[in-house]
Amino acid sequence: MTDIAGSSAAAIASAIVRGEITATEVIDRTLTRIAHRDPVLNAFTAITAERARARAAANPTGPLAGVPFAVKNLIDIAGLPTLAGSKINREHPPAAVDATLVTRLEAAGAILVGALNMGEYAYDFTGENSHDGPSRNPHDTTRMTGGSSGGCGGAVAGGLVPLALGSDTNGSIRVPSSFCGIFGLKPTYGRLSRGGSFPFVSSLDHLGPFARNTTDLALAYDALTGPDERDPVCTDRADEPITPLLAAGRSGLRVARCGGYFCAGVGPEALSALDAVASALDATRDVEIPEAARARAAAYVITTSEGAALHLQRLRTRAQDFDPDVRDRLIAGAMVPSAWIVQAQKFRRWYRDAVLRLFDEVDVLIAPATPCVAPLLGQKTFVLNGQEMPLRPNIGIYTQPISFIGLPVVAAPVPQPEGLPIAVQIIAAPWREDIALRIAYDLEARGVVRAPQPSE
Amino acid sequence: VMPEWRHAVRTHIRITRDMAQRVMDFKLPDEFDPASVFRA
Repeated sequence: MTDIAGSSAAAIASAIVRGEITATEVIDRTLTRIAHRDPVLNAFTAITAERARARAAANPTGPLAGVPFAVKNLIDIAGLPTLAGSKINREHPPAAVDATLVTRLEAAGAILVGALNMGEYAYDFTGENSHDGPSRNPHDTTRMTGGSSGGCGGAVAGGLVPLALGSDTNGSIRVPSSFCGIFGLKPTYGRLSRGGSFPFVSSLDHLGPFARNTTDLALAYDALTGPDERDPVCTDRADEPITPLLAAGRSGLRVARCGGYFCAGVGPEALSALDAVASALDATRDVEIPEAARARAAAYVITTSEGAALHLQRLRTRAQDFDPDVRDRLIAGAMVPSAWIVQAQKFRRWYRDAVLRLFDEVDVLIAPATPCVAPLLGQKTFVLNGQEMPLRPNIGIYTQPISFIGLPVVAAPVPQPEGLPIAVQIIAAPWREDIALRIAYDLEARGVVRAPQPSE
Repeated sequence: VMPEWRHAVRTHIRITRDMAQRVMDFKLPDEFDPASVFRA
């Protein structure tokens, strides 16, 4: 094994088990690669080299033996302050223990190599950060990675690590997956523990993995599941491993394409990607998710008000230390009347019941992940439905109505013949991550979806 | 709120109000429970 940058997690673990390479060699090469490429990509905010070398020297075993990974810097790493992309949290004491999901990946043999850049307090779809600088897209470093898990997108797409952990409140796993051309899994709300992570909007927050292929995503997911007393929302369902099911294919699964709201305003690249996936899956049927625009609006209201409530004291005393784009939205959110929030939560229940009825007739829904390919860094507006709109709040228009009710989604990248990648969302009913991953695996096996390797 | 922030804050209040209006316009029975502790 010579090419660590392009190797999958499964290939690295397999090479280590076969004795073709040691975990120490993998980590040394990974750290060299990060030192070479991260000054351009700006994906990392901390490198845990000493910890990684010590762990590699202990010859870890398991399905992810020796596989390097990194985590969004809102996920606790023992000995480091948990930044959550902010200036203010730099003054926090270091985390005493690792987050639950870090512990679980390490129990499967993986090796943590660092913490990753992100949009401040996860209130972001761009991957830009006024304190640490922007994450840069490996396919075009003048463009956004998407956010808020921007460092995850840059690190995985750029071949710095094969696996990363991020968070998704309204689209923060799926948007960077789309812009950076990698696979991301936003699991069912409550499936993976958030123990030891800095929150944003508790009633919408999910953690999940990024990878460059479906098998790696499933291997990581299988290592991450399980109940956890540190997160009261985390399910106590028994583990349901997915890796053994991947090759079951799509036989018997009914696939439909989301029409209506999900096709209005969609750009040509997103439409082309959706058409390619729909055609490959023989998805001739369009379904309309009822009241999707209203669901997106309700998610917006809940996000801004819950997020503002979380940060209210910091806004009162340290407002000047926030990223201005985040601060101004949070201040506005602090003024939301409770009647709006209660109505949004009532509507949420209505909407969940309405969408779940669709799954009586279909097993999988496909939809665009983003309306466009990665915008330029610093870009403030884009054209949506023929209208110039603010970019930052609108990149997630197709992701928000899905995470609003906690459905599991795989973001799968569709390479464009000439140009930047873009992803589609593969959406399943609650707790059916297996179905979304089976579809992604089938598409990948047939070359319809794939994480393209960026040129350097 | 510093004077130089007010324009942006007002813009975000307007966006939030427009979003909320869409939600408030949706008629639901009084007895309908909110999903305050949400389970998928």
